[in-house]
Amino acid sequence: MNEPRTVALNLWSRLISGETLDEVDRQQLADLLQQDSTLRDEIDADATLNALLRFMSDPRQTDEQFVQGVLDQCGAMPPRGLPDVEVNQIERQVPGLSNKSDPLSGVFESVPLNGVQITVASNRQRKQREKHSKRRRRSTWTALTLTAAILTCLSLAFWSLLDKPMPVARTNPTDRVAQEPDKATASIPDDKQKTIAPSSIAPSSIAPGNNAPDRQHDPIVPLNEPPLVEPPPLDLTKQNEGIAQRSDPESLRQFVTLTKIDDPVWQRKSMAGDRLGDEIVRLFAGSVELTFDKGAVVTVDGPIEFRPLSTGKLELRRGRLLASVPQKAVGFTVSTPTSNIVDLGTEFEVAVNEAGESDVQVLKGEVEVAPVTQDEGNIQKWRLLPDNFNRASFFALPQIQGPVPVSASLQGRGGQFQGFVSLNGKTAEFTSPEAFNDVRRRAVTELVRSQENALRQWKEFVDSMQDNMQGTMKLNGQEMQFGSLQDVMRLQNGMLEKVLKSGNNARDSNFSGSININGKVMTFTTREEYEAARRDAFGPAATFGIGDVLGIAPANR
Amino acid sequence: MTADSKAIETELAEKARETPREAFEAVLRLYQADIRILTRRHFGNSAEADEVAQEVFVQVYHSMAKFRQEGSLRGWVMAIARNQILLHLRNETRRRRRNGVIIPPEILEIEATTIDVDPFQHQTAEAELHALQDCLNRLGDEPRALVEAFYFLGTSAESLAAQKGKNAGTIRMMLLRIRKQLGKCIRTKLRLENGESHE
Repeated sequence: MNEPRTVALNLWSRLISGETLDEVDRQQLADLLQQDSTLRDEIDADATLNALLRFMSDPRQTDEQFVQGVLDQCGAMPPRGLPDVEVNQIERQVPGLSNKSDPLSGVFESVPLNGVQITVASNRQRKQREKHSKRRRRSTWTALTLTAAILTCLSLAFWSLLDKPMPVARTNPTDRVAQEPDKATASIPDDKQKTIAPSSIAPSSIAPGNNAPDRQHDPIVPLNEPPLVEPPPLDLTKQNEGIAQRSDPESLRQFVTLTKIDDPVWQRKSMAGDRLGDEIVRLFAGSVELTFDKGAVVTVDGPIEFRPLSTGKLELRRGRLLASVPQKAVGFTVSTPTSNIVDLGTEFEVAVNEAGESDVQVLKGEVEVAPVTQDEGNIQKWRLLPDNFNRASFFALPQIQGPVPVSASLQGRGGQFQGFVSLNGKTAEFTSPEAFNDVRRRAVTELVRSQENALRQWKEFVDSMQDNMQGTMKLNGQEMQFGSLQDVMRLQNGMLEKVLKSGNNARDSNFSGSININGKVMTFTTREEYEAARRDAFGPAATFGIGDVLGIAPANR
Repeated sequence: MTADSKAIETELAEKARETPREAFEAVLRLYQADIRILTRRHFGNSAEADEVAQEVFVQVYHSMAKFRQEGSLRGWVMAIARNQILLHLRNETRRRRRNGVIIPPEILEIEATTIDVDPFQHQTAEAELHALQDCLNRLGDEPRALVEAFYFLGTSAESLAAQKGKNAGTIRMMLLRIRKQLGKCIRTKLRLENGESHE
């Protein structure tokens, strides 16, 4: 039989020997490592040894050549200050990594922005690129200037012939920001937001999940910029172009003021007092305070990518922000790829990582949070309070076709935990982070593997959880009682650990006991019989994190 | 970290404020092997690994003047490296342009908390490489020949399997066991050098 450890080591040795694992194998390896810290350490040590051996045996570049290459590259640059944006945006990420006092630090990595190209190639490549780029810019500008001059002359001649007034600027038909009403803004009209008050807010008054971007099914196309797959090099003219293209009155409306700026590095030249409207903003480093016209004050630190959508709404794509919302601006909403946060008069922090996963922490007051889901009719919402459940995490939506499992967890200051995994309108709830994480990952893995089968199993799993499961389980004389499937998961694992620790190997013939569930009693005297009884008792739930514990030694769990 | 390396770091941190360029070169020479080994943990292609390592040092260069002597210099350089590796991994994954194997972060965690927890307890790479050389010499003939063929001659596991009449999986597992043995040997050696008698 293939023990999980053997499977993991096999997959690992294939990967490290140069084989590319497919997604299922990669996920399986990641899962196995997640479950077993000893194995993870072992793999980690092996990766280092492999790297040492590769470094030692690599004839390609000597130490001195490497050192010289770096020195050559740095020789042309000054060591301090902000010599060019290309490097500084990274430079500023480093302090974020060690910011241990940050309450959200460690949960989400300080990650670079998606659309930013940071390439540090060899000195020669760099010079060549600069040379090409200069040439290209020069020739582009020459061509543009000539074209503009010709067009202007032609237009003047044409309009003077017609004897008509000059036309006003029209919207570029290809500019979707200007052409279409923004979906996110449209789902919460400004006048509706005004009615939201802390006492009157009801879950139904919150915009449903469709007001936030669903990266999978309704991807946000960066409308004023090239696609993210090939990030554009930094171009200081880009941002202004983006604003200038939009010429309809609504998109030109500016509703945010830069009230404080602290050494920002971004694609614009700004100063305190400048105004922003609906546009994608990327701040690579530094800090900026934005005051929305309705009163919400949002502090953002680079690296971050966000988009103010209206006087009361902001979309956070990546990065971290702190929102302080006075009473007059209650209802201020932050949407992320995986969650919507509606303020109920408060101060809160939101972080979004590269995968779109979001983490919300309320510092003062109250916020309402909801996951982004396709299932609009069945959206769960939670209220976060500083002294109760004060933090919520929303996990990434897997990139698969069909229904997508939505998972979120709530955490309290006192270590309280609640996890939720929803799929196809059915939600499983968890009180232990381990069980939640296990089911969450398995739900995704199973879906990737076999969607149809997984959906059926999921339904059966949740149905079985909803049963009032009463019973006892006995292993080697120790008896436990359970009232839910979660109890079974927790107690079963604990009991098996005890059994294994006491020296009774699970494979030994003295492994015996019984499962009494809702009055039906199953007895077993071997591991195989136990497995059969367990499968019989807990049904398909066994495939979602209940089973397979016997193959793993407690120390490895 | 040994007392010696701590002293070097302190000296470098002070130097970084006055003569950042000079301090940078010293840091580069001190940690280039560490960073190049670290990048090789994630990038199967050595040229790519060195490219990322180079990017790391460019970041270090630009940040030298900002290093605060609160933590270890090595930890600080490693944090920059971690960030750069993540950035590169994500960019490469996004572009689907993979030169050789990439070991994704979900498999090989590179969290800030574990980046310094290397199996050799914060020794510099120089000490590790030295120990590895010794340990390789102590290997038996057959395992040493296997390591030499796979790493130094670049023979694939499949070719080795064909030569030895075994399957590739067996060869890969043999290599895994040899690396484990080498790791154990290195740890023992480094502990002895540090004057520690046992674990």
